[in-house]
Amino acid sequence: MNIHALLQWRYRHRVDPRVIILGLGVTLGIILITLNYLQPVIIRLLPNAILLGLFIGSIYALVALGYTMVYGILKFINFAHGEVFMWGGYFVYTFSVLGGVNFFIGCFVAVMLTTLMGILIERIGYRPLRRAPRLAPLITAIGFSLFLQSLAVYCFKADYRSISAPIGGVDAISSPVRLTLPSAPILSGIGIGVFALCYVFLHLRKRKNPERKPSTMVENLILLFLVLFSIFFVLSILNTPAADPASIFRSSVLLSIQLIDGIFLVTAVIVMIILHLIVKYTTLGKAMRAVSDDMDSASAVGIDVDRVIASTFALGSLVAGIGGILFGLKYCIYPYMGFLPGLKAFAAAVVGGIGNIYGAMIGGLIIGMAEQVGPVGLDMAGISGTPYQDAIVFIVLIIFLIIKPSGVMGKEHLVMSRGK
Amino acid sequence: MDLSEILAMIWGSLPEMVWLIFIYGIVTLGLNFILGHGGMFHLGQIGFFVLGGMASTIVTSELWVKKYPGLTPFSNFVLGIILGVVISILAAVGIGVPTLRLRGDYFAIATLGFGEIVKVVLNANDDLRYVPVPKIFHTGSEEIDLDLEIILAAGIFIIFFIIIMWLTRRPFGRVLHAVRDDELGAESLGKNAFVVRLKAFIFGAAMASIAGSLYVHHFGVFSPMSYMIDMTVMFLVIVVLGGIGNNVGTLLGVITVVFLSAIPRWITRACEIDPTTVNIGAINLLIFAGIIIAVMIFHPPGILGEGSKLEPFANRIKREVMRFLLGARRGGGHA
Repeated sequence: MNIHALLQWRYRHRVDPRVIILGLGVTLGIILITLNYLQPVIIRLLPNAILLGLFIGSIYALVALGYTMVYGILKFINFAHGEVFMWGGYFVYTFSVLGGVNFFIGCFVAVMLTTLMGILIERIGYRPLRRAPRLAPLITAIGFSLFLQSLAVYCFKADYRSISAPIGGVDAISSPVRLTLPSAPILSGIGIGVFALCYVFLHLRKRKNPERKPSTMVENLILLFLVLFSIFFVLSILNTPAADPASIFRSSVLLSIQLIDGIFLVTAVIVMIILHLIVKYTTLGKAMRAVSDDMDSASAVGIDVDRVIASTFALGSLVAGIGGILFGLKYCIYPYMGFLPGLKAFAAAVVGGIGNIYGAMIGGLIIGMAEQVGPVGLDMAGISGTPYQDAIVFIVLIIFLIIKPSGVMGKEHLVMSRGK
Repeated sequence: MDLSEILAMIWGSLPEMVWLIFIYGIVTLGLNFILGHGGMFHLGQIGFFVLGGMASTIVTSELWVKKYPGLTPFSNFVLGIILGVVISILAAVGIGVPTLRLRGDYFAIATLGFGEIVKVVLNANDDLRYVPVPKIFHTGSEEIDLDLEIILAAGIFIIFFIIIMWLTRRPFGRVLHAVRDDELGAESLGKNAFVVRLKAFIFGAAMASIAGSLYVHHFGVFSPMSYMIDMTVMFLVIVVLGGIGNNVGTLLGVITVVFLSAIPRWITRACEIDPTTVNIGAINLLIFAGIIIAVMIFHPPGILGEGSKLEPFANRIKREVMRFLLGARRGGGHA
């Protein structure tokens, strides 16, 4: 059966999204419970992989923001964005590790420099080509990407370097923060309770004031979490030793998170909120949305299009610089780090819906999860999954391009080849 | 080094460069067919190049020969080429079908990803990480017969050059050009843009695969990670510099780029600089990147592309050559 026919059928018959969520939840639950019997050891890796996916995903989301903002306005992929991300790490390395400047001042200068880099790339490479055929800026972007990458290879050699030395080395930032929580069934029970209350509250409010339009998105999200927590609850109940059911109340979950991972998530969320405020409430944000909709009309009503585009590049590069520093703190910096992570970030932008900054966050999380959870899935199937991490991300991208090329939150007309 | 030694060194490295020109020529003719004639921004030519090398490696390796002893080395080699082409076509369909309906950027990112993922996946496989490849073209001893390799590569290059010249004048080529220039217009005349593009993509991919099969036998070892991202970019530089959409331009581009990447090596050897102190590869790449950016900003048609000042001149030469080769019968009609 053709997948497009299937999609058309779904659009014609308008299946309730709640039915889809419940159906997916039940399927996922059955799969997980079966696996729990077959591979009880490996499934213990799953919560850890999900957490790691969340953290890595927030880095991809930060980089994806730059891709998606530029795509939203200029409608082309800025391949050099991954390299700006990489140079964020290298600037900190130059100033703080080699130059001995205070780490936080070094970070600040590095982020300023990546911002400048983004503006310069736009000014030199893309502005002369604004009216050129579509292929031209893409080729220039590849040129810039290569230029920045080989410049890093030339200056610093193709070695792995650490940038965490000025703040006490890797041990200081990756020191685990331990949290002792009540046991898994109680935790998921609390989760179910909270979300069920939310759901009931939403419906009560809807009944009280029928004029008010219910937000189906929030309702669906609540339902999704409810389903996920229920699966978790059933699984944890199944895993408690049958001989000693009272251990539910005595035992506890020891959650250990590295400090840097927490910083990833918090930074990503803060950046998202700030960007949301900028795009929604400032004059610049308004101008950006206008230019994104129709560049010529925006210029006709007096918006300085060149300035708006330069600011978009500046914002995207700033965020990419922050992402590069965080990535360098967790792993290492190396000249090719802009390439595969950059590609994955772009995949995140596509999956989330290109041109949409909230989509970038969702896409980042999906790609991060796929990268971390996918190998665990392969392990359960008996294949060593870690070498195939990158391929899994790529397959997720291809699947999205087949099923829903506009991504989770994107617009259809931005994607199809005819909408030139 | 004095001058005679330097000249001898340059002279000695020429045959290998000629061979490289033809190998890269086959790959970039295919890329030019996809990018220039088809208007698809293809960045994964390296992936098909690797796949072709892999297929040829598997089929000519000792294990295979032990399993099927009846086959001669030459028939194994031909089998490797065919296998590589089949695998590449399957891969091209897998990439092309989901992405060719969408805007060009998606195709670009999917092919770029494909080129890298092929290497990563092959490298994850223990049997393919570092495989010795028999040198088929040898002169009895361990020495490679470079002349034979050059003749083979040149022959295949010329055959493909003629096929592409022929193909672009066929209705297929004209529809391809029409789809590149105005997709809506072509579709309104009843042409299926997606299918035409997919066919062109498959053809170019198969060419890269054949070149990969020839390439791998020169070095005696197949290692997926030795195909760097530099190669993708080099192929792009060749096409962009020569002029997007012009086959003769692509040949000029290959010659320029192969010589350009040899010059830093010559200089370091002539001045007796320790090669570990300077990073020749990075310098090469910096030059390539500069070329791409400069060409796109200052002279987008490249050496011989549409709109270049040299183009009418080149067309005239081509016409004269055609007239010389084919007689006055068809001369003049080929512009």
